Amino acid sequence: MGSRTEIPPGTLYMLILKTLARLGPSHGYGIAEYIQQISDDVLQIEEGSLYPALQRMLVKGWVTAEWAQTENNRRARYYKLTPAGRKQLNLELSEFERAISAIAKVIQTA
Amino acid sequence: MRELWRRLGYLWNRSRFERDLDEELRFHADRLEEAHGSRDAARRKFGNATILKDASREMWGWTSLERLLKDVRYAFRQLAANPGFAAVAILSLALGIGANTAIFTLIDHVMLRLLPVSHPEELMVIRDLRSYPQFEQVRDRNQVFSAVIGTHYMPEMEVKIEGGPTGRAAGEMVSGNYFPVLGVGAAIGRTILPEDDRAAESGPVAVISNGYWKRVFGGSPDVLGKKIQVRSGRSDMGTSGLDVYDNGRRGSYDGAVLTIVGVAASDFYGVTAGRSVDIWMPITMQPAVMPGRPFLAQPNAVWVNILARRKPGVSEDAARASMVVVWRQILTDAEGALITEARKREIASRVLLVESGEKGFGKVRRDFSQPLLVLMTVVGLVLLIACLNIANLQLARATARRREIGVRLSLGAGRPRLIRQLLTESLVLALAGGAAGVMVAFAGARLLIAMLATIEGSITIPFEMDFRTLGFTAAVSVATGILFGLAPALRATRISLAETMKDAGRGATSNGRTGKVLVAAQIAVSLLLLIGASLFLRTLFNLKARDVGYNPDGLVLLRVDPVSAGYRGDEVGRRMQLLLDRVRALPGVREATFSENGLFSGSESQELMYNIEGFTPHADEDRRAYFDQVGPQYFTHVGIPILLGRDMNERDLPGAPRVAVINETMANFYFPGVNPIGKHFSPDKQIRLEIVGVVRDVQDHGLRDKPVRRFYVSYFQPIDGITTANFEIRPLGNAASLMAALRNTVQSLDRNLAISSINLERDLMDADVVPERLIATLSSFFGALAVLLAAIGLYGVMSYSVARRTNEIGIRMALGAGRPRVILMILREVAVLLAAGGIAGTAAAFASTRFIKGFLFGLAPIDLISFLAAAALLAAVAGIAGYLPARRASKIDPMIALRYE
Repeated sequence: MGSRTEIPPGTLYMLILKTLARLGPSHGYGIAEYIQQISDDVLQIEEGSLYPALQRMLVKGWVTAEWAQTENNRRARYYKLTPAGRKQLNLELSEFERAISAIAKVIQTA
Repeated sequence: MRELWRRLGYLWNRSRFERDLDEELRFHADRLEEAHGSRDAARRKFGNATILKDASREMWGWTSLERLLKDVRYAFRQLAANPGFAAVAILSLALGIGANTAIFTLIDHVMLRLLPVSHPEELMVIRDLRSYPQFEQVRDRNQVFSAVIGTHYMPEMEVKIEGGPTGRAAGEMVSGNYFPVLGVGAAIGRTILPEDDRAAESGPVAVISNGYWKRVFGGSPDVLGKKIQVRSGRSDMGTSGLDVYDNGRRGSYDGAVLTIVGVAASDFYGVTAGRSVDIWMPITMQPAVMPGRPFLAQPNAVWVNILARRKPGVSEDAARASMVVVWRQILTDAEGALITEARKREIASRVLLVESGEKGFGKVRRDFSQPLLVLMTVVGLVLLIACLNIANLQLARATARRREIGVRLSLGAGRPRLIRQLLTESLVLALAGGAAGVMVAFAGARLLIAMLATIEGSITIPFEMDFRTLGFTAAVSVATGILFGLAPALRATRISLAETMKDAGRGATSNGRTGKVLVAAQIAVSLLLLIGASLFLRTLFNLKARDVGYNPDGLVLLRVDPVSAGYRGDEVGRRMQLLLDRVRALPGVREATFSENGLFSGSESQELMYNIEGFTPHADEDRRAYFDQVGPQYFTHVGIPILLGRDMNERDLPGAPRVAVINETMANFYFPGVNPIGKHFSPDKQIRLEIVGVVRDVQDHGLRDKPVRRFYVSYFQPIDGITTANFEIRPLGNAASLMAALRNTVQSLDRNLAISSINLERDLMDADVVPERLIATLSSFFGALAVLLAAIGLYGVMSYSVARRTNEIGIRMALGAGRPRVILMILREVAVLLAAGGIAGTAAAFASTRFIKGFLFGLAPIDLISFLAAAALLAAVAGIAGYLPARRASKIDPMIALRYE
């Protein structure tokens, strides 16, 4: 299976939101698969974290969910970014960048 | 906000949510399976779906609520499965909580609540009644109050509503600043205002309470402008000195005609806790409201309650100190320039009792707070017994449910989760009991108030279940739920798994012990209650059996108000003699007489000071006595034995030598071993009384009273203004049939002569022991309830004990133990419990009965008879409760019992 890296705390929502922003409406499996592929199998999202996170995002109103047909004609629940979700994504991205650059500074001066 | 909506939407659509989640996860698992090629690998990857679902659900934030609902639903199923248990528990809780709530409601209204006015903490009240001129002086001369209010409360005012019949209502005359200073507004119309009390009888207006508006006028706004006629005779007042009243006959004796100008704010009931007012009117309407008693300018009539608001920055102590000084100045100035040195010294020792007024005037509080606290203790103990009882039943059930609990523990339910579950059951039970208790409380409070009704009226409180009462009920319910639920829950869940998987019956000895401790505690508390009940019952019995010195049976008391009919001076006596002649002529009357104060009629003279011939007093106290002014043949007709000399008669008239009859106590005090007949004493420089008779001491005003020095003068030679007349009438046959004839006789003499009351002497005496009867009745009822609950507890514990020992008993019987032996064995257990509880209860009684000493009469707090009677009753009931399981034990068939394992 290769080495698995824990998803850094607090970034799960950001990853999901970014995925939805990139892919457009997608189902849970698709989101997990996409993140895994893009990250070259480094980031693997546990189903035990993914689905509770999606529920949380529904509560917050960042995504909406709708049942639709997949390409091979099965019913799946598709999550779609809302404007509030997009705003949240931008917020998290900028915060994440700030944190990363701060961490980078600390590491470089060390 | 929108988030909340989404969450609520989740609650609404929970089953759809579950379906969606299930399908979504199935889809995911399928895709995994396709990707990994094998079902097992996919499942490994996927992990625990239940945990995942729980976590997803939790995101919506309703988990704890859902769990609670589940617990509650489970609790209801458990209770429904044991309807007998649930019924006993809820019923006993309903009685316990209901009784507590009912008495709390009264205590709250009478003792705890602040007045519903603005800034009640600034208010102060003057304890005693004052005259109107004194009120004006206090108002105008003090420096510590920003406003001074005068009031007069009339519990039984006659009210005639335009075009309606005459009814009774509680009235209050108030100074014009009353509503503005208290910050109480009008719901409709206006309040009484300072303009309304500028001059005597200048403001014929009335404001009614919200309750009276609803009750009598159906809440109609048409009430404004309606006219009512109000009239009041005697109420709470004091008068002294001759000819208090004006001599000129006034035009109308019908009372004051007032126009309703407003309805007071809905929560406002007046300024005396426990006394609700229906109708307010300006205090300057007093001469019209009380015909014949124009008191506004009268310095000798005290009838005004004074309430004041402190100025900002003035402390209560400062106000009190300042008012004492002002009060002495007022008294000194009233004496004028000719004040004697002795009078000055006397005034220098006077104080004015100024109290905190945040709860209003304290009359009802002073009268009722002690009985109410005793009752609160009684019902508190009853609730405690109910709790112990239910805890015990819970324990027994927990034992029966050991398997269920064991299984759930072994399936991984956490102990906290199970404790919470069991506690939820207790709370559901307690809240159900509390809800039923609210109904009991409603009825109970009404019953209580009815039982507290005396001749002077009862506590009147606005009857609305409010948040304070409901909050109290809820708090008590939750507290009792935890009290009786926690220990059994903790016990029930502390079990070893291995043990419970075996037969539930064994190894449960410790549970049995807890149950026994609980039962012993119940026995102790119920013994305490029974001892209290028998003390109160014996007190009531002693009071009722008290020899008052004459025969009160059948005696009828008719009270009339000659003042309100306009009679003055000697005319009062002449008219009353006329009425007496007519009453005596009635066919149903055997004998009749009259007196001013009557017997047990609630009015009493003040103590009068006098100089007595041949007696040197050591202190002022030595030359004071109570007195009464009595009609012809008073002692003979009432039935008071004359020891020396003669009775009053028709010749003791104005102008004839003034005479007095004294009682035994007075005779023995002043004339030990000497015949007092012919001796003289003087209550006044102008008045010299010759003693013409000595009579036996009697109880004429209170059953608890000790004999006091008392003398009697002729009604026709009054030494104090006559304000009333009480006719003591002995009927030939049935008293009830006489009542109508008496009313007609009075009416035929003078249509204006008001009948204040007609009562049987026995009823008046009963009214004198109202608190005692209330406490005795309720403590007996609750004592019996407590014993019943304790008996149920004892029966339960013993039945359980017998069931547990079936095997052992079987063996004993197989080895030759006879039935009596088995019964004795079980009864010995009962006896141990009874002894343990009995000793604890007796000890508690020894320690606590002295707190109710003030309520007892004719017996000591440690009264052997009461203690023994209580113990015997408890032992008898407990004996029966214990004998039934013992008999069942003796009927055990050894063969079956041995096969029992």
